[in-house]
Amino acid sequence: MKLLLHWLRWDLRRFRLLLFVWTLLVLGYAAFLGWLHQNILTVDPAWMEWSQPIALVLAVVEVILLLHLLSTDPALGTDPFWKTRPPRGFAVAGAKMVMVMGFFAVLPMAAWWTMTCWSVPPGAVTHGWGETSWTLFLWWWHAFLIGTISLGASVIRHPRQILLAVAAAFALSLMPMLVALILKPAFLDVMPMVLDQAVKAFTQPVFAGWLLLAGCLCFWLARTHRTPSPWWRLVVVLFPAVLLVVVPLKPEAKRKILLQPETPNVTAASTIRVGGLQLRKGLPVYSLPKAFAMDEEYPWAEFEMQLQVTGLPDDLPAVAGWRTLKLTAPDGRVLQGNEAMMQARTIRRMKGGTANLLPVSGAIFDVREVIPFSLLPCRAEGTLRVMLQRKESVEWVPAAGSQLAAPMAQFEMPEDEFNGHLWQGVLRWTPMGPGELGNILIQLRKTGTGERLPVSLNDREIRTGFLLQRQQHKGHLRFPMGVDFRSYLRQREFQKGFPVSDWALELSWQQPDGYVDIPVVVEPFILPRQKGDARPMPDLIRAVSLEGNASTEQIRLRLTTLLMLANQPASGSAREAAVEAALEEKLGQLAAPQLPLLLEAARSGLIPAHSYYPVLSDGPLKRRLLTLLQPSDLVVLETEKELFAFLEAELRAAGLVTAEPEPKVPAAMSDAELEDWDLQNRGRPEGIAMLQEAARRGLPWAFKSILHVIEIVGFEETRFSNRSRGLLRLISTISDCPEDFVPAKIWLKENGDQLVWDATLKRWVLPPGNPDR
Amino acid sequence: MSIQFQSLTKHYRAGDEALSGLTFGIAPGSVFALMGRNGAGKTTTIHLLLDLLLPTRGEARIFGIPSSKLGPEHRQRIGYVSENQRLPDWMRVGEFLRFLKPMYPSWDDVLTARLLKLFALPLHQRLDRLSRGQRMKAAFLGALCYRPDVLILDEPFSGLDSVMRQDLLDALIEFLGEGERTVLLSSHDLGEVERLADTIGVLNYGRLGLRGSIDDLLTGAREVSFLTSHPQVPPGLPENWWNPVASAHGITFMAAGVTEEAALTEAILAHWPGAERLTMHAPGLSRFYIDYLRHTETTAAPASSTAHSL
Repeated sequence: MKLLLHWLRWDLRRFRLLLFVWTLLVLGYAAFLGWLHQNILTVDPAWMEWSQPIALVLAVVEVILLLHLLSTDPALGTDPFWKTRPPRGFAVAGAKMVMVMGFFAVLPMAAWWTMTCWSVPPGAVTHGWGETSWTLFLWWWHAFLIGTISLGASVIRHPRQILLAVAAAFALSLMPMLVALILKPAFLDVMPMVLDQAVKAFTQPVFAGWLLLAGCLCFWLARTHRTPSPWWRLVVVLFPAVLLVVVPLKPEAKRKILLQPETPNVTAASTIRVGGLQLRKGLPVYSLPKAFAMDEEYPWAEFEMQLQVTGLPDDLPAVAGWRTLKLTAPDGRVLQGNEAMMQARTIRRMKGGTANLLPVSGAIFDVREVIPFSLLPCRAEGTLRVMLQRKESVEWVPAAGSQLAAPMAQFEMPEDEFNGHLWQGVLRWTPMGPGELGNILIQLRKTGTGERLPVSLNDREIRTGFLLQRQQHKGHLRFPMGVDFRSYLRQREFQKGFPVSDWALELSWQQPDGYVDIPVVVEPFILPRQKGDARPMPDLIRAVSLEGNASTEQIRLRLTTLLMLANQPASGSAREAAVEAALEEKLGQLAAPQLPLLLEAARSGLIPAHSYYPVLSDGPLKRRLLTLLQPSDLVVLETEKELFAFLEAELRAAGLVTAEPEPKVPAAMSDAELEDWDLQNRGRPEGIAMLQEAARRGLPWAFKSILHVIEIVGFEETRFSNRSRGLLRLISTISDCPEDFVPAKIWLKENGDQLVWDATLKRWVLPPGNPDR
Repeated sequence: MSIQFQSLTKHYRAGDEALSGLTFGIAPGSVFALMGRNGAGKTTTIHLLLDLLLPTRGEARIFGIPSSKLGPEHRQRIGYVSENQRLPDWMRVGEFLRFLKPMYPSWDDVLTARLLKLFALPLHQRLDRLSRGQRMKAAFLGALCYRPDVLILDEPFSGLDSVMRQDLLDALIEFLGEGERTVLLSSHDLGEVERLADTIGVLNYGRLGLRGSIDDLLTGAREVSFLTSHPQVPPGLPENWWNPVASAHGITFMAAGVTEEAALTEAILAHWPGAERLTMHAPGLSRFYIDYLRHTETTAAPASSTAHSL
């Protein structure tokens, strides 16, 4: 250790100039960012443009310095000075690692933290290890660099070899991806996890940590031996490879405890009394999670509910969130929520007004601690903060002669949105009043018609963009925008640029306008089944208590919970029978007066009729309902035939259900009926027969409807647009569009948005004066 | 033995044998000169001894410790100077000494001051700005000031002018006079070897071809010349008669391992009956060494792995 410190002292002296320059650069950059943040309203936007180039230069400088520092005093070779002197290899290597970690990991992160603490408003930049945290990104970047370059530097004979060795180390670091490529086709998912600043990369601090550990260990191990033997060098190469392959890329599914999706996340509240505002009635919130996996990266259970609120000022958005919350079990056990996590959670926004529903979430419990409270009638006490917000907006009309946005930068067809195109561009927007940009709503409004196009900040751009581009409260901003085009014609119009005379940018945001903290008591309710509660389903059903002095509302919620538990898919007839028996036992406790509660539980609307499993639709629920229902009660179900479809036979027997009329065939529909259908179903290719009929009749709207469908489904060979019998052929019957497939596509692209209806010819034609006419 | 080589073998590549089964020892307090042609394996031997290279087979030991297991406490007793040694060039001479001092508990400030004065090194000059001779002086300074028990010198004098050599030699001689120091010296400079070493070993194609004390080697060697009416070299001459050369009227050669001159005379007359005006005298180290190397050239490939211990 003494010699390590001695070597470190002399290494610091040796590289003092480089380290001094590096420190100045890092601190200067942090100061620059701090200055930008503190003067965000007055600083020339051009200064912000410098932040990214400087970051890039810093990254390059860092790579060069790391290569230089780590390649000195190599382990191999016969002429390094240190090898003929007393210090052991680990002292020399250890001194370098301490120096590198100090100046290239701790210093930048400390500078970043200091800058954000001093200059950035709380909440504007994430400090923690969140999904988009810059702390995490800094960690990732520095760990990746140090780890990889250490790997390379551990086996070099001469500083000249460092580049080659680092290239090999990069290849080694990428080995997990190659393995992933070979083993499974998820390569494209893995690649951004490792290299990009994509979301998943930010969630992989463990990967970065392992890489850093592997690199440092290799460096240290190689240097521990004054002259590493070939065998030892092989270990040095294989060790990180095994480490990197085995640890971070273990399939995510295997790292979690996966349980079958069995029960929904049921949270309910009953009577709530508060001072000041009146929260009248808690409504249950249900969601159907895909799986009850124990997520190691997010081990928190949230408490969600909806509260009906009166007394809120009209037309003000309100935001509600828990500040404190504790759960009390019937046996007196108390579980405190994590207040820090509660306050860090984004709180949902809801439009205000009288008697509004406020979704409340964010009271977070450690998921492991909350498991013992699963399905118990717990009491919740806490403080709810309701924040009121004032809505403000501004309209920005660009200067005459300019364009609101540049021509389209790129097109992208999201996989999950087949009927729209995403347009991405960059908008510079300079003057702006105060407001919460995190909640900003941007719309393009056509001045003539008032038509609005929603513009969204592009998620990916936000994440990969520099910190100054996002989450600013005030100041100059650049918006990566996405415009969701519903129409191919509109997309083409925007492709040429937004004409200033036609469009203006409208920005609106919410301004905080005070809040009130409300003490809340939630009477005992059934806590939903928690992640990790692995009891068999019959036991879970039996655990839901229907006895005691529960209120009507509580009984209703418990019944709802019972039905949702029983409605989970069961595997195997034996298991289904056990669930059925348990539910039979529970529902058997219900008496006739509780029938409305059972009906209400069933009609809560959270269990779609088509999702009923046999246990409910043809099992204990049906039998119990038929036992309790009197013929006269069936009348109340008349308007809920969809919900109680499993009682259809009984309803029909009672004469309450009549057969649906047969739909008309398109040929039998009038022109008006066809057009009504088109207006209501625009963009749905399923009604192709109706469009065919409209085209056959030469109805004027048919062209645009058919074109619209083609825009959506594309020009590819589909059953709607193929050469022989697709919609293209129909268009040619009502316009000058050629019949041949390829010329028809070209013709449509050139003329599709210019055609006008000629009532005399009963055809779509190019307008008079068009040279192509 | 302070230094011991046991069957030390080093192959850089298959078939490329730099050292082959080197086995010998250096007694404490002796100055051993390792000699040989360029590429004979001298530097490789030293690198293996210092654990700068891994042996293919065998091992080298210092203080009885295998090289690969030498710890800081052992290295604090070893000095090393090489013509190719990389120094921390970014340091000034004074910094270099301050850098080294904490690594060596036996560092002697008085000796340092004396050597600094002897070498006349500028303390504030960076090492990379020093001349070659001054750099070697700095290297010597960094190797002598802690009074190492074993000093390993790899071509320390090559390329230096006479004054520099003399300064370094003076320092070395003073160092040797202080106590029982073991020195392994690799050098081509026969004058310095003769002044410093008491034992030499000659490496030849990776094998130790000749080893012994300088006095013994030279005492048993004779430069022989005589006239004869048949100046031809007959076959079947003794192996220790090196480089027999026939001129117009006579023969010359170097006889090694001579115990009695009378016996040598008889042997010569047996091969050349008419030999006359026979002269024989003891050679200098330089002549002896060169004749040995020429002799090994004529016998081509390495004759045997056993050293000529004469």
